[in-house]
Amino acid sequence: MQSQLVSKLRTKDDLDILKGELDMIENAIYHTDIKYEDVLRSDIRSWVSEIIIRESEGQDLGSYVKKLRDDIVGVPILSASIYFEPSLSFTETISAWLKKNVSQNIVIEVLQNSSVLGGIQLSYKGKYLDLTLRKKIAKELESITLVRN
Amino acid sequence: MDIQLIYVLIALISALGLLLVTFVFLHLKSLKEIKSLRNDLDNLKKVKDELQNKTFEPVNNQARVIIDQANNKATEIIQSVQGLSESEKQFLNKNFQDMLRANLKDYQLAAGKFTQVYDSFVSSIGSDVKARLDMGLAKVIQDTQVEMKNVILNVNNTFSNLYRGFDTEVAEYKKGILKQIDKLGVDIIKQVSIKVLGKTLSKKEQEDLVIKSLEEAKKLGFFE
Repeated sequence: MQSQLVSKLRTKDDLDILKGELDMIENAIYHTDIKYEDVLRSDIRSWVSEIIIRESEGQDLGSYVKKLRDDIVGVPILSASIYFEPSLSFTETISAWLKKNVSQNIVIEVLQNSSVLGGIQLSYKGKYLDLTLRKKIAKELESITLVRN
Repeated sequence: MDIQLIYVLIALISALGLLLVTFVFLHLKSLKEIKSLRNDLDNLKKVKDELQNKTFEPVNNQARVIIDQANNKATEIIQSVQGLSESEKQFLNKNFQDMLRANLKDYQLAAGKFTQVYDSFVSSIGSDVKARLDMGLAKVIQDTQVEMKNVILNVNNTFSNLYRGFDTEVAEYKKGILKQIDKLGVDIIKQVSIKVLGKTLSKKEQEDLVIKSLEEAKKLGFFE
């Protein structure tokens, strides 16, 4: 069964932070001088540690973390370039749309690029799609009909 | 001497005298005909020169003028245009061809004038001379036709070259615009977007456009 943590990831930043947290937990598990309980309590975000403690109850924490790491390796990442710096709420809106329409596990990497002017430039699973206003305007200019003096 | 012999001698001398007078008369008549033929020849040369200098040369000159006029007109048309749609290409082509036809009509009128002068001239001369001139005229007509074909060919080639050059110019212009966009980036796109959209997009409109674009991507099967 897949961890609840995976479906809670919204952005690539979330994914990277979770990877860092798993590194710290694994480090604590395999080094006797660090107590993983301390790490879970002090270094990991509380909602993350809560889910980890709950889901790993009754099983080996090392095995749980390894499986979790395997799960997040397969998380699809959508890179999206947009004109403006998105607010947190808008990032959540995009994420919600993606989880509903594409995949429950998908995360988004939002890149701010003012040259796109509007719309979105997408990169996903090796594919690329330009739906920006810049592209549309450039296309219009390409088919422009010039007038006589 | 016998009187009869004297009569015979007188008759012979008279006959010889008559022959001499006849010979002189015929010789003088022959000289007159030669002089007349020489005059005809002089007239022939004169008219030939007149045809050459006053009629045929102007026709040739006019042919050259046609080429110049066609080139100038084509250049004028081309230079007055910044870009061409398909309908404008047709307009340009028709305009140019009309102008060409008008000039060639003038050329044909001049050639017709040459033929009239020639016909008038040959009607007043002997048939043998006329036959020789007819051969000359055939050559003149042949040369004229070749000249006319050359005029048409030159003008069409000139037009084609100018037209081809202009197509390239338009393509370069468009490429230049896109290159300029890449170079200037955001600023020019903003300016163009204002012209295209009539306004700059608000934050809400930007967000809606992103969601709309995602929906478009889904319709295109991008996420599959």
